[in-house]
Amino acid sequence: MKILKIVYFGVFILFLALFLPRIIDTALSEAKKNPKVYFSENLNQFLIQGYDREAKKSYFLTESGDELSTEGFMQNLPFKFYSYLLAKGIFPDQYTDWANADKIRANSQILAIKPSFYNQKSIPLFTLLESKPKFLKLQFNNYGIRGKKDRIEFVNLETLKVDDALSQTYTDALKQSGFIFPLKCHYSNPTTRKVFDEGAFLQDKQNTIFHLKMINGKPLVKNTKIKNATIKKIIMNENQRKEFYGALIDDSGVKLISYDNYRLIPLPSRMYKPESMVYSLFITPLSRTVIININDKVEAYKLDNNYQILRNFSFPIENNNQWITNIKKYLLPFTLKKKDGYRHEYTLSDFSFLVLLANALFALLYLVVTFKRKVPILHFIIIGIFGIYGFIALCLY
Amino acid sequence: MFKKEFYKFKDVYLLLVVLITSFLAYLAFSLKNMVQNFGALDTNLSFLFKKKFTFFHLDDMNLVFAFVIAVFVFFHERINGRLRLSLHFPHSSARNIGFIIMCGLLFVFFVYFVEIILLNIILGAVYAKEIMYVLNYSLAFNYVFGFLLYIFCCGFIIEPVKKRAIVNFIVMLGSIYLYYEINPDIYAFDSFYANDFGFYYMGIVALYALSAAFIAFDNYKRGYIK
Repeated sequence: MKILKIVYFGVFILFLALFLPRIIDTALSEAKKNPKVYFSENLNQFLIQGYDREAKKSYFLTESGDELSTEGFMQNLPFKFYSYLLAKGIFPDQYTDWANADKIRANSQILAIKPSFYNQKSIPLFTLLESKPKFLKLQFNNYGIRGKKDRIEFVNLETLKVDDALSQTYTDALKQSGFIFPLKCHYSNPTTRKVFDEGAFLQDKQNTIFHLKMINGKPLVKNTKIKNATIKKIIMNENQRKEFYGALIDDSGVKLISYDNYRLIPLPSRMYKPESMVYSLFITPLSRTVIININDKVEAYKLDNNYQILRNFSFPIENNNQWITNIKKYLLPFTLKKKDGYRHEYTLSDFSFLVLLANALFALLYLVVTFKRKVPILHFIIIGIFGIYGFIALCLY
Repeated sequence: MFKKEFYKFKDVYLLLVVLITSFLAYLAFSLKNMVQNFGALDTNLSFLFKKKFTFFHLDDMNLVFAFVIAVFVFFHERINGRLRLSLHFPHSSARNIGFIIMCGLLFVFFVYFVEIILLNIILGAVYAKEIMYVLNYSLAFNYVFGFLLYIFCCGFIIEPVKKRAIVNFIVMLGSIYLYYEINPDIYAFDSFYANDFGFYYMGIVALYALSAAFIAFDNYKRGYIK
């Protein structure tokens, strides 16, 4: 029974370490409104769009601190607000060559990597679209593809039967290109709402990436020669500019997979953590910019046409919840919180030694609460270690 | 003996079984309509790429089922003072407590077992096996939490010390919150396999629930009735 009581008590402390910080956050914290940073080709400066909590209105600033009106902000971002500017006839004169919505669209591209998208684990079953559809419209075919020990298997999703002939054709094509089974991972962009299809990237046993496409029902496999054991994700981004297939994220950061024989183009990604930060690459006809939303600031990089950094700019994010963080530091000896990632993985974190004073006060309070009662010294040791959690648990025990 | 235990919750058990059967039938007919309207291919693809699937609250119903049966089992023991007698049967304490808990739990298990077989027959005819793994894992997690809720009920119904009964009840509510965070309905998943580690956490919750149950019985037996 003593062991049961220890277990009961221990789990209750974990329960408090999970829920007490959440209750404090929910009750006291304010929602964060992150500012947005864009690059203005007009001013050759970064522009900031933010929200003033006290004045309860949006503000627009230049990098040098000058305020802009909403109209001024829009006019200085002609390749972002081109629809509005063209419709109103106020598209900047110096860009008359570009005063055409279709032309701007054809030369623009946005690649955004959000945690909600990155933190996804897909089911090991993928599809290939016909890359040269007969009637020009992209459509899903009937097959789901799964990796087996020494082959890939095409399963008809209408009947759930395996098509052995098709499976063999694609397995042979992969093997002939040097693919070593089993298939470790697949990366594709499974949507028909895109201009064209670039198939899928497959990672083999030796972490080599192969490019697989279905053309007229037949496999087209290319060994990209990209070999990397630390690949976390490949995000495909088919765009009519046809400069890169998408982005590869590995331990060293973000790289573009170019159409130039799958050459990798490294992008600025210092401090970038894909599990929790938003990464955006904005390409307009006249500029290339990378914006990374980090917890306490926005990092912006202006790049040249070869994706080399020309300059960078950092804009701090005001933290209205700093006082709550301080309270937690002085009150909670540790917290049990969810790690960033696709699954719910709780870890003990935020250990703080600043709680020792609070722990002593709780021990004193416990002495008052249990006045005239015989209390074992162990209780005070528990409060000394577990602080508020131990105090609550002992009071309720 | 089992028959006698069954009489504690016979009516509500049958009622809930009918309800679960209705939920199951609704799920089956909805799936049939979806396949007829959009085809099995679209049904599979929308699951794969949009997480378009719901149990139509069958999973919630499973939890309600276990909870209600537990309430009937343990209230019956508590109200009639029947527990005072059964705890003094000439067996070990663990065996006596085990029998009281396990009888109702076996009836719950039986329904879950039949349900998962039926669901595998219904869903397995449409969905690929990789998808069925996700569904079965989610259901298994649901059933395990159903069992835990059942044991939790023991911790706050049998427990004679009001303060501890309230604590056990609050921990049960917290566990329900945690459960829905880790294993919501499929469409509400942040990501497939988000519940990968769920069984570890449920293991910890199980330790609490079982400890609370045994402590409650022990306190009751000692006669700390407030």
